[in-house]
Amino acid sequence: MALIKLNTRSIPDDTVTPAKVSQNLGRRNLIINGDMRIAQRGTTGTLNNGGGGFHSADRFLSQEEGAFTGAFTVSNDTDSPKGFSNSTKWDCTTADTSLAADDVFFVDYKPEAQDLQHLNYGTSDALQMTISFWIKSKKTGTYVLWLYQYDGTRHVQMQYTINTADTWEYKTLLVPADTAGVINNDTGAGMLLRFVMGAGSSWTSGTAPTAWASIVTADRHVGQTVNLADSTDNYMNLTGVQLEVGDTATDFEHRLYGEELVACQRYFQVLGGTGNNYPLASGFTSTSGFFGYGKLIRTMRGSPSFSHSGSASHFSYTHAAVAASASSSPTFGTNPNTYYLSIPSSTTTTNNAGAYARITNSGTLAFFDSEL
Amino acid sequence: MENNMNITNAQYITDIDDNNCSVKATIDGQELQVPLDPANRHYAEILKQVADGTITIADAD
Repeated sequence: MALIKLNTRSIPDDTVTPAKVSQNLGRRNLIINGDMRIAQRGTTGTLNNGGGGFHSADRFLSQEEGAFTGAFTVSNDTDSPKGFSNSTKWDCTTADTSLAADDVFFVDYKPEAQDLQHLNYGTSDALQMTISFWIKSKKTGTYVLWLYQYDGTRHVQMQYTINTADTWEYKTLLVPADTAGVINNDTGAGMLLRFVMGAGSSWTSGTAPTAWASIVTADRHVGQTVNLADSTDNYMNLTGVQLEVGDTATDFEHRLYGEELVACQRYFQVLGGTGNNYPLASGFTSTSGFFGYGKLIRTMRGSPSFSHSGSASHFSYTHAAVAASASSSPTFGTNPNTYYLSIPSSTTTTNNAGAYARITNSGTLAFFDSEL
Repeated sequence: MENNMNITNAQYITDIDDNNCSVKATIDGQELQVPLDPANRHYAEILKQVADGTITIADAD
C-alpha cells in the first residue's frame, strides 16, 4: 500500500476547523473556579436585601439591588451534572412574588482586565467568545446573561431557556466581538458576567442589546421573564461555567484543585485554621503591644481588606517568656503581598524586644479580600 | 457598576509612625480594615460615598 506523507504544511489553513482541532487544549477557560469547588469563605450564606456577598464559591458574587424582599440561601451543593462534583445552589427561602421596578437579583463574575487583552477588544481584530455552563432550576422560562465592560461602559446580553424543571441542562451562548470598547490593560475588572435570576421593569422595559452597545439601564435584562423568587419552592444550581475564545463551546477545562485554589488566592486568602499556632509576623514589642511585618500566601490583585472571624484575643505575640493576647482587634496595613501588623495589648512588655505573632486558636481566621 | 455596600463607622487607622494606613469600617455588617488603595473595591466605595456626602471618615483615635 502506498503511504502518503502528510505534514502540517500540506493542510490548507481553511480546512482546519474548530471541530477538527483537539478539544482538550489547556488554559482555554477564562473563568476561575467555574466548577465551584473552591469556597474559602465557607459553604453557605444568605442573599437578601443588604445581604449580598461572595457566599459559597470563590469569585462568584450573589447580589441584589432595589428593595428586594425575597431571600435565598446560597450554598455549595454536591448536586452536579456528570463530570462535576460541586455546584452553587440558590434556594429561595422568602418569596417576593411581585418585584418592584428597581428590583434585580443575580450572580456576578468579573474577569480581571489584563487577562482579557488577547480578545483585542476595541480593534478590528476583536474576537468573539463562547460561554457555556450547566444549570438546573425549578423555574422553566427565559433567563438573561448580561455582560458589561467597565472601561467602555458598554453592554450586551444573551437569553437562554430552562426547558425542563429540576433537570441539569447544558447551555452555550455566543458572545459577539466588540470592535469599539477598549478593555484597559490593568488589574481592574475587565468585564462583568451577570446571571440574572429576576428583574423588575426598570431593567427590562427597553430593547435587548444583542450586539455590544453603550449601556442603557432599561435594556439590560430585557427578556428575563423568570422571577426565581416568586415561590419558596424555587431553586437554581449552576456549575461548569466556561468562557473561551471562539465560536465553539469545548468540553469544560478541568483544572487541578491546587491550581484553582492558587488562582482564587489572588483575590481572597485565609490565614489560620490549620492548628493552634499559625505564624503571622515577626517584629518587636512595645509598651502597648506588638508591631511587625508578615507575608501573604501569594501576591494578590491589589492591597486587600482585612477582617477576621473568632476572637481578637486569639491574635497573640510572644517574646522571651511573655505571651500577650490582643486586647482588641489587631491592625493590618496591607500591600498586595505583605502586611504591617499591630497587636494592641494591655500586658506590659519590654520595649523593642524581638517577638513573633501568631493566631492561637484554629477557630479564628484572618481574611484578606482583594476581589474585583 | 452599581455597588450596594452599606458602610458605617468609618475611621482612619494609623501605623506605628502615626500615618493613616487604612480605614476601619463596618461594611454590610462586617468590620473590615480597608487599605488606602483606590483599586480596592471597599476603599473605592468608601471614597464614592464620601464624595456623595453619604459618610465621613473619622480621624484615628
